[in-house]
Amino acid sequence: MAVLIDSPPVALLPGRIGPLEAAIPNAVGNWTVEFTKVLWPLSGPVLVVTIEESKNNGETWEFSASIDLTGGAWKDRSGATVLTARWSTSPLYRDPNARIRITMDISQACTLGAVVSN
Amino acid sequence: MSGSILQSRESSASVTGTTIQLAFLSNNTAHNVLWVVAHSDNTGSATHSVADTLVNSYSAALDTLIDADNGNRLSHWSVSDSLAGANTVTITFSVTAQFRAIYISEITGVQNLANDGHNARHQLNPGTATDAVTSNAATNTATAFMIALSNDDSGADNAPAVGTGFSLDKTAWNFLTPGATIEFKSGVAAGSNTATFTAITATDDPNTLMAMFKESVSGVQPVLATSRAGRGPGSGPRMRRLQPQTFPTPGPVDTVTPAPSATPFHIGGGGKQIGMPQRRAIPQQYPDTIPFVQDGSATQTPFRIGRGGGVGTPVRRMFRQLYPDTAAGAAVITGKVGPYNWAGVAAPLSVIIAATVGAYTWTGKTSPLSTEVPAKIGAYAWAGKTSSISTSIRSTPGAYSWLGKTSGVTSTLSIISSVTGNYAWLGKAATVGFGVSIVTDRGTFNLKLKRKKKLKSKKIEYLEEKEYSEPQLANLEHIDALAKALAERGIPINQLLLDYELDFDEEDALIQATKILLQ
Repeated sequence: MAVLIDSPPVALLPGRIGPLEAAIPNAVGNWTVEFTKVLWPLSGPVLVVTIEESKNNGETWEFSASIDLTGGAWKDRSGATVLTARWSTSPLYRDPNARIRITMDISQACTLGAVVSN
Repeated sequence: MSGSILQSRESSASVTGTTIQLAFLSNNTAHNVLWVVAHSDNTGSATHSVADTLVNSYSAALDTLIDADNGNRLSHWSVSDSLAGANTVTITFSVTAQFRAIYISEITGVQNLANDGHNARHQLNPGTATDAVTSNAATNTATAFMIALSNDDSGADNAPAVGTGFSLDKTAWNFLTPGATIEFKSGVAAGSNTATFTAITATDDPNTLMAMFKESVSGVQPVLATSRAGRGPGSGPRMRRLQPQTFPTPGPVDTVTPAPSATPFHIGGGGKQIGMPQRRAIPQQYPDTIPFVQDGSATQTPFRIGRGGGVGTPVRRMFRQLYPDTAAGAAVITGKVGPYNWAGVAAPLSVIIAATVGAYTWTGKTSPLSTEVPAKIGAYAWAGKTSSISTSIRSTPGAYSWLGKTSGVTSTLSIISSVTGNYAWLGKAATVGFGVSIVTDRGTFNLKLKRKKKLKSKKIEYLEEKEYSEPQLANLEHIDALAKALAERGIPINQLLLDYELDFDEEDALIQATKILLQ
């Protein structure tokens, strides 16, 4: 998997981070966002992550997908507590001029990292 | 033509949250079918709900499958008659959930009707035998397009292989590795049918959902989705070029070249001549318009066929086959009033409201309701409707009185006469002159008697001078003396004096005082 955007864990205060942008030419398979939490609220809305995609080198952007993240523990499929989690989505465009950008709207302070790859 | 998946996408997230949103790659085409599947863990028993930005009318969950072995929940829905345009689907989880996932698809070549059979099934270790992973059977009543999703929720996330006779749409839901497979099959004969997959390992725990949709009778779906970029300004209605050779004379049409636009067809209008020359000889046999197709989109316009263009029978038949539920506008809306109502669709509702006034009231619809208020006065009162209720108050003054409604209720005396109590206590103002009603309702209206002034005597004039004599003026001293005498006898004369000052002639005062003394 090629790393497209690497945002190591940093303290995030309420507000907007991004958009952070990268090329994703001729995407093979899904793009994924790997989250790593360090300090994380126990409950409540924490942030909303939005992915937009472009097929013309960023001239225009299309909403692709979005998820919200809430406080609390993360588990893996076996039920064990983990500090990383994944968001995976099929891309809008598999195009030579495709680009991807990520925006995070933080509503509750936390320390979080995000790596976008394909 | 067979049913097929026009487009599909999927997304999955193992982080905790309450929503997941996913956009369609291309604009949805009107009248296609959408099929949506959602997944989450079932730790908090989060229920799933679906909505999209086109405000399509989704079915209730076709199935909600709870996997008690591994604690997961899956739901699926369909839209039988999609609106057109760019669309993003949102799954909302009632409480924070993990392992959220969504799959969205647009299906073409099927009738825009509700599903024709569906089912779901959880299996614990069904083994790796071919087609051992199945949905439960469902019965379809006509040749159908089947679409199914099976997800391995054992934790290993082994997306199963497609079943015999099925085609792969995609693998999906990559929590760790892709755990779900979506497959489809067209031409599924009427009867009892199941979707089948093949598990990868013996310990896989598949959860499978399946739905079937009737394939088009004529096998034609009118248009293909357009790319998102191709929907900009200038991409308005286009003329569909029909293929003359595909229309036998006479007879229905089986194929047509898909138009690259989701907008309605406009055939023949404005004097344009389109296709099918062999039918031009008989344009006058058919009405010049196809009945209005109500699909809820503000941009949709009715089909017009034949006006000035001379397009004949096959085209009309074709459209009727493509849109089996087309009818006169009012009738269509009547039959679909619920879905259209909740979808916030604007439509000529005046007729419908008469029959479903309650439903529209509660969804905040506005309409010309003046005629309905008399019959539905209670319901509209509580919904805060305003209307011309002058006539209604006559028959239901109580209801409006107690709701504090204001209206043009300055009424004639005859109305107050009949409902005087109610209006009086509400402090209504009314014009009340002397009349029959005031006599009977004097107390209610708190009317006061007016003091009637006594006319003064006319001065007598004598024509002959010798007979003339000045009228005798009362001696004020006499009046005072009389009053004093009366007072000494305990006879009150206050009123007499008052009247004397205000109205009485001196002569009258003397006469009255004398009468009192003589009594």
